[in-house]
Formats: sequence, C-alpha cells, structure tokens
Amino acid sequence: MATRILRSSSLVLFMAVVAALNVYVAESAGAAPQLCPPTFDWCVGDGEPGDDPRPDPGAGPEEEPQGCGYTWRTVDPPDGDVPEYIGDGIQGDPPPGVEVIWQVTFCSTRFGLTAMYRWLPAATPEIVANDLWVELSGTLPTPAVASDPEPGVNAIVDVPVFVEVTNWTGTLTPSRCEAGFCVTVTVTPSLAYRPGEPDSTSIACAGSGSRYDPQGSDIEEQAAAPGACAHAYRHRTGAAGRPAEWPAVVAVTWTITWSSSAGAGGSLPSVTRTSPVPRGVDEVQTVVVGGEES
Amino acid sequence: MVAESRSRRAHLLLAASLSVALLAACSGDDDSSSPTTEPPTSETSSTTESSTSTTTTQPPGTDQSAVEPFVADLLEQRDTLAAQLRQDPSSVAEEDGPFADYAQLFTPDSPQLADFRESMQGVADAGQADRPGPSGVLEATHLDSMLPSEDADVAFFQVCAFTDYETYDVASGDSVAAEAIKVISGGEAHRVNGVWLLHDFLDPDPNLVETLPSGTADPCELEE
Repeated sequence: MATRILRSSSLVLFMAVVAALNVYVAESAGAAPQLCPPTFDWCVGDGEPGDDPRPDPGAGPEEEPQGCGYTWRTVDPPDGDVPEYIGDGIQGDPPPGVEVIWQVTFCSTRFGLTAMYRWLPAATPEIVANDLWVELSGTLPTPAVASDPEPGVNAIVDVPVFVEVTNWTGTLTPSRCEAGFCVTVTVTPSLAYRPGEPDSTSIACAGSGSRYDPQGSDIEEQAAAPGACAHAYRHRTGAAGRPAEWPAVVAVTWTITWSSSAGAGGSLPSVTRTSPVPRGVDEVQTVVVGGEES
Repeated sequence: MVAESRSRRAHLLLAASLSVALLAACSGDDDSSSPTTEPPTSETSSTTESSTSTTTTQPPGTDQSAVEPFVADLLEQRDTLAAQLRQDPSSVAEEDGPFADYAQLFTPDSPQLADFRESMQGVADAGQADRPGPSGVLEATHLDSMLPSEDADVAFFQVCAFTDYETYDVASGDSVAAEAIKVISGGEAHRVNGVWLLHDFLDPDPNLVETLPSGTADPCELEE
C-alpha cells in the first residue's frame, strides 16, 4: 500500500491542497457559527468541531479534502508561507493591535494530511466578558406570560389586567476564570408591560410582575400598588376603527455588566426578549335601579 | 551552536520516535510473535467458509469512532516501547528485544522505522541514553482525533506528542542535554489483513514543534 502521508518534498501538491481547502473552509465558514463579540467590530470565523469542509465542485478528485478533525491545538505564531497563505485566504489576518493566539488542526485529503491554522483573540478580561455575553445571550428566554384574566380572555374596561413572567431568570452571575484572572458578568432583568391601547404608556413592573390576589385587597388597590404589573384598559376593542385586540407586549430587558479580578470592568449590550399578549376588551353597561347597580 | 545541535538532535529523536515503522521481517506469519494489538473493546468477527478457520476483521477506516480505540491502543503501546528503547538504545540491535515488539505495531511497508532504529543506534554508539525528565513523562502521544477517511483500510489521525527527557552519558551518568518537546502532528494507520497497524507520521512541521524547559508538565494533557 502506497504511503499517503504528505512529505515535505511535495510542496506543489501541498499548495494545491491548501488552495482546495481554502475554498472549502471559506464556504463552510458561512454556515458555521461565528464568534462575533458584541463590542468588537470583527468576528472569529472558525469552523466548529464536527464541521467538515464541503467538496469544491471545481476541485479535482485528488484535491478534495475528506475532512478535518477540528481538535484545535494552540501553537506558537507560525512562520513561513503556509500560515501566511492560509491567513490571507481563509480567515484573514488578525486585526491590527489585537493580541491573538494561533491554533492548528489537521485535515485529511485523498493523498495525505495537511495542517490548517486559525487565530483567536487572546484571553483578556474584555474578551472573556464578551465570550460570556455571546454564550449567555443565546440562553436568555423569551418571556412566558401568565395573566389575570388569562391570556385570550377579554378584559373589561376599567378593570385591571395583571401580568407576570413565569420563567423569570432573576439576576444571573456567570463567571469564568482563565489566564490568571476571573470575569463575572452580572445580568439583571427588568420587566415592562406595554398595554397597547392608545395613549397608554409602558409600565415598569417590579420583579417578575404581579397577579391578582382574590384574597387580597380591592383589585384597584392591588393594581395601584408600587411596582404592580397591571393596567386598566380605557378603550374597548372591536368598536368601529379599532382592532379586535390591543397589541399588548411584555418585554424583559437584561442589563449586563462585567467585572474582573484584574480590575477591569464595564457594560455590555443589553438583551431584550418580548412576548405578545394581545388583549380584547369589553365594555360592561351598568343600569342603576333604585339607587343600586344591577 | 551547541544548543542548536542539541535542539536539532532532540527534534530528530522525537521525530524518529514519532515517525517509526518497519514490521519485523517474517513476523507476519508467526503466530507466536504476533503483535500485541489486541483490540481494546469490540471486534467484528466473521467465520470463513471453513468451519475451522476464523478471521477477525477490525472496523473500517471510514468509521472513525470505531477505529479510534484501536489506534489509541497502538499509540499507547508505542509510547511504552519507545520509552523502553530510549532508555536502553543498545537494545535495538537485539533480535528478540523490545524493538521487535515495537516494529510489530507498524505495517510491513512503514517507511520510517529504519530512521528510528538508526537514531537509537547512534545514541547507543555515543554511549548515551535517555531518561525521563522531572515531569516523569518520557513518551506521551495523545490521540487528539480521528480524521475522515474514504478508504476502509486507511485511517488518519491527529496527535499531540510530548517528551520530557534527559540525555546522559551511560558510563559517567553525566547529563548531556535536557529539555522537553511538544509536537503536534498527523499520522496514518493501515488495516493489514483485517488488523489496524500504525503506518506513518507526518514529518514534524517546524511550526508545530515547541521546545520547552525540562520538567514542563505535559502540555498536551493540560490542554485537553
């Protein structure tokens, strides 16, 4: 069986492989998740474990990569033509002034193996904070809403509607330690209820919101309590020129800050998730008979 | 100059120990000296037409996860024997010594075993030998991952290899050189007669060879 390992003497062949891999990785990079730190104007365009470069329709059969292992190992900054070529062709050079680390993985082709390099931003407190933000922002949930009356049940003019978020995260403090320092990100949620009827304003709710307590005080008193997440609609729906439901929305906004044991700290972009809670509103006519409502 | 020479020699040593192979001639048909490459876990057995003859075929190279334990086992055995040979390099000349066992981990046509043997012989002729450095790790080859293969009889893999060694003069016991080296490389295994054997390793790319102070903890392991 012929040896397939790529030898140093096969420079021309090697460059052909690199050229082929160049195309594949460029293509696959579009589909692979990228790390785009929120406070930076660049992304790390890396393949993810398990991603295989896709065949290039224009490549000869001998040049088609079979795939990569994507076990990335950190190495010293590479010298020579190969990483320079890959750097120009696949990922681009590191942004000026950004400290990076270099990593390598191996890919197999039909006639041997070749190394592929990538760079990643070196760990700094700000980078780690941004990494945490990227991880965290994808996990913050869309609010699940409970209400009185229940969603889908029409409210009554002047009778307060209460809303509450049932998957309230509370304050989160994920942290990560690496490279000799620890970074803690503090994620603080706040809740707003926008009733959606004309002339209404956004209501800043305390905590996860509030529900009507039948055993408690008068409903108006509960709705008027500081931080209550309640609104009494003034306008019924379905009348001429009005929609069947007011487009109410519950919005949770997480304010995110970070601090580091190295002394640095700051804020990161906030994250907002909203859920629609449309509400039909009826008007109840009352008739006064003999001095009493009936 | 001396440092450069030591470094080059160290690189050669690791390269050689990483890039070995030469199946001991005529060992293939000798059951009593068959390689100690018992599959770690599963095997697929098939019985031939003869009821008295059973052949064992290990998984195809296209099935990366199935081949991985076989390659890992071969690398582990290689580490053990390479460390043994480096500590007693003169034993490469022994017909029934550890080099015979070492060679049986590789395919008959593996291209680099001669280099390894020559390297070991050179160390022995100089009256030298290696011993583990302060980390205690003389040979550690970590299988990073299997790579895709379209050939059922060929498997590719990535390794991170580490050696922390001290070369010393056997007669006096004096240290000649001491350093640690990490190499990231790729390798290839072949399935011969249904059995996986190491075939070759990439020539170490200078970019992927890192010389470290003697006593450095195995960085390959720390990164995992």
